[in-house]
Amino acid sequence: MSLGTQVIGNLSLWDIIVIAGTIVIAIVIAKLISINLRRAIAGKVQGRNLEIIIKILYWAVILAAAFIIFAQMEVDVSGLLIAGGFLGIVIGIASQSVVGNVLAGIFLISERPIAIGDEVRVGDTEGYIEDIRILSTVIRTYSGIYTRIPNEQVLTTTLTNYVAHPAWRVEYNIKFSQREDMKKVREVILSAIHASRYALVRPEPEILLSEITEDRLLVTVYCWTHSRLYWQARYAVLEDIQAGLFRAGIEFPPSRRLVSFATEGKGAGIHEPPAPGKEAS
Amino acid sequence: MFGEFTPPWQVERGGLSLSLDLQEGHYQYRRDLAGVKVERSISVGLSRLLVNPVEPFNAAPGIATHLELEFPSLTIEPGVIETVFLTFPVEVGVFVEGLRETEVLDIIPVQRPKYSLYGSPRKGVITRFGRSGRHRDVPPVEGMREGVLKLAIRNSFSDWIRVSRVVLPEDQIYLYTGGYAAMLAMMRITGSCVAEVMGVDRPLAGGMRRAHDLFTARRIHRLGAPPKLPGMERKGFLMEAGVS
Repeated sequence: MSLGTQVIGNLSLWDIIVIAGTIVIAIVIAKLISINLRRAIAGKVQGRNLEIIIKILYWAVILAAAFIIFAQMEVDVSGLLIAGGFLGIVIGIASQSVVGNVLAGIFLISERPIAIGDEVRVGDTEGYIEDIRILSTVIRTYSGIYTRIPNEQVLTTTLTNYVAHPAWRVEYNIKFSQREDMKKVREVILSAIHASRYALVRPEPEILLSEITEDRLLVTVYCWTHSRLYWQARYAVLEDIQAGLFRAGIEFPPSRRLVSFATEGKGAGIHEPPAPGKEAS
Repeated sequence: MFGEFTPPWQVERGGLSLSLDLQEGHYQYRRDLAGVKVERSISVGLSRLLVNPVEPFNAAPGIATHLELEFPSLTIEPGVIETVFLTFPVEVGVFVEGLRETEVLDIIPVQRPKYSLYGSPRKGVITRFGRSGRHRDVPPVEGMREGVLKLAIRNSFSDWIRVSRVVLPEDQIYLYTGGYAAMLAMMRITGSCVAEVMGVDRPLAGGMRRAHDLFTARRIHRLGAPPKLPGMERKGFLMEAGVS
């Protein structure tokens, strides 16, 4: 029996060998792609998403092999392709947002601008990333509320990842009486920051006299902390500064307002306090 | 205070009190450090308690993975190797050795931890920070709080270099113990602000033994592959953000 002998319908022995070979090669290629892709992106992509991506690629290879087999069997696939094309357009129009979300999901998974556990802000939603899926991203807000955001929205709105960098700057604005010695204030605040376990040694903290008003000094304090400990640091360092200032006898100025009692029509009312050194008339 | 102990056992030193007693069929572990008390009941076929120094990253895990030491600056001539002794913060690890496994019972940060950023806020690393004197020989240390690092600094650059800090990642820390914690490291300066740092897996002095290693235990648990196997080469850390 020669290779040209027709065995099944119009198919010769050679055709059957080619078809069988194509099936085997396609399966081997699909398996190789799956294994290598799994090795390449394991750890970067979550298990469930990894399986979806691998399955899509696996079946794409098998589909390509099917078209080769159809050609070998001299099956006219042009009608199938036209029908498939129309079906694709219909499905595409009907599922525009789904496709958009899937593509955005693939981008989020491969590019990794965010990772599970990151503290982020997406549009008006702030919280921690709980899950990154093919269609959506799940955020647990600070109040513990489950919020599901479509991936397309995550990608097209302003996305802030608070923990993408290792350190984050904390800023405080503290008011002091104008009588306070700025040098002493600076020393006390610096010593409190240096003693705090949350404030980083480097970048060094900065204490700046940012404003002088008629009766007070506005001091701006910058110190850096580990970005993942930002909220603990924000309150703990301020508490340490307050304790240090209290121990040093530095007080915060009370709100001042001068109330004068006078004859009706002659200066009665509430006035701004006079400048230091000047007595109220 | 470091060593292997069999219950009942109690020790008090430098404001730290540790005890292990048998009470109603369970072992009762108690720790008191400056008024902060920890108490644990253990139900194991207990044979020994191990107390030894551990890397200073474990009391607050996940914050820092590198140790940064700042010391009085030293200017080194090209081609010269200088050896200095520094002190570094340690934590006290308490391990319980059961019939089959050894488990971490407690990690005690005797020193208040301080952290820093080595590098830029964008690409730097958070480090466990410590300040040290620069010594020509092994300095006296309080074993519960500090260990000794013998650092060999080689200036392979063509110019004089001022060095005042060293950064070691946790996988380059090989702690040995013998009354106090000790480790060895090498620093090779290759540029005006670039140096390669590597830990050396050798004891500082005779009679020292390898401390029970928390880093290895953690990595085996997380990744399933031990990174500190004897003879296994590991890449050093590249200090690219300056050496002073």
